[in-house]
Amino acid sequence: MGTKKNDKIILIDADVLSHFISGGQITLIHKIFPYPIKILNKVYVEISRMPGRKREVDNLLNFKLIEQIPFPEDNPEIRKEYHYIKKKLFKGDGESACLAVVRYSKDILASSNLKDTAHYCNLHNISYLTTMDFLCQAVTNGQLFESDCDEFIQRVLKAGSRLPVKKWGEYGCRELDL
Amino acid sequence: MNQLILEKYASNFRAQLGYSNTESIHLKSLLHKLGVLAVFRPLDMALSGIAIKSGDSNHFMLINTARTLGHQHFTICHELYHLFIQEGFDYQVCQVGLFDKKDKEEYNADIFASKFLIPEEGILALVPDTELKKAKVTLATILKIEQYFSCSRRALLNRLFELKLIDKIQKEEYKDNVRASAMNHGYSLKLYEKNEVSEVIGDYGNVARKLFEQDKISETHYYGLLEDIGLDFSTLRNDGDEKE
Repeated sequence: MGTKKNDKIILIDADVLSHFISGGQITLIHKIFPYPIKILNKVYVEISRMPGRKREVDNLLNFKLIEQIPFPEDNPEIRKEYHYIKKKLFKGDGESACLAVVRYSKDILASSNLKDTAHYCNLHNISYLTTMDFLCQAVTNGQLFESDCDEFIQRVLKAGSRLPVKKWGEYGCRELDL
Repeated sequence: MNQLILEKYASNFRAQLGYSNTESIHLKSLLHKLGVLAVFRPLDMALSGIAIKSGDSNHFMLINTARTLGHQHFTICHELYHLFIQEGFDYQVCQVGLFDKKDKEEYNADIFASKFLIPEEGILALVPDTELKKAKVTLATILKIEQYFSCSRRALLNRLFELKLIDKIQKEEYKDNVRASAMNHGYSLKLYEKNEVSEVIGDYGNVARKLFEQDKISETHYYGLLEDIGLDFSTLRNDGDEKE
């Protein structure tokens, strides 16, 4: 799938990247949606500290499958929101940074499947994608088969991560409006 | 607070926890038992520790491990006073062992710590009768007591002086060359050294894990919380095993 020629990007957080690394489909991730995938420096720092993740993310960056961008420290609105999310909504550093940035940039967020993240996105009209949304779109695009998704889910769960279902057949894809 | 009252509190607290007044307490086990979230970390400053209490069940202490192990043990007992004995306590940054009467609760905490960590009965049990008769405790006995109760030389000398088991001259004499005196008597120096360890005691990790498993925090946030207490996951491989 080609890249759309508008300025919108997918801002990805560490959990989704980590799922795709565990699931063995990391080289597919940038081909699923027609938007470039970018990672904030704060998220990069976070994922680099997760077990066995740094080298794989470095490879993604080196091969330019995703691009690292700085957190806009000079934007007071975003900085204020970042601190608010971190302290009041009790979110991790990278998640807080992603949420604060997409709130004002109106980019697409790729984040973990948490209720309060979805609630925040709905409240501020932010488009968001979960790991399962990526899988759904990959199936629609013909890039993955159901058996691939089952294997993906098993590998992610075995690595100790959380997903909303244990089998692909249990999941109902939602309609996306990006 | 009257010293006798503090003595009574220290003795009662020991009894409540199932310790006699002659036994040495393994303080880290005690912190587990009391459900205190205790963070041990070397700090680049002179403070000994911090205690914070929130509600009836949330007890936190930070212990500076850039102080000697003996000092750390005294600090734990000092913070236990704030958390479990002092009424209406919320938080305190502490420099312990000063016995400064100007700060009432800090003074009380020092006295309590001294009596709780090194109880009179326990001291008397370790001092030979011949030394008790002359009120002249020898260096060998001092070393035996401080090793048994895992306390600093300073804390023990203050306690012995208070109990009139040593005089001012002896107190001055024994306060120097602490490490050399321990070595000369064949003891390990661990008690007299900074160990600079980073460690957390309590259910912090369990709570973080539970939040992750209940989908209340993300996986990355979970790892971030564990990193905050000094755990380094980057040394693990994808499958969770240690790197070769």
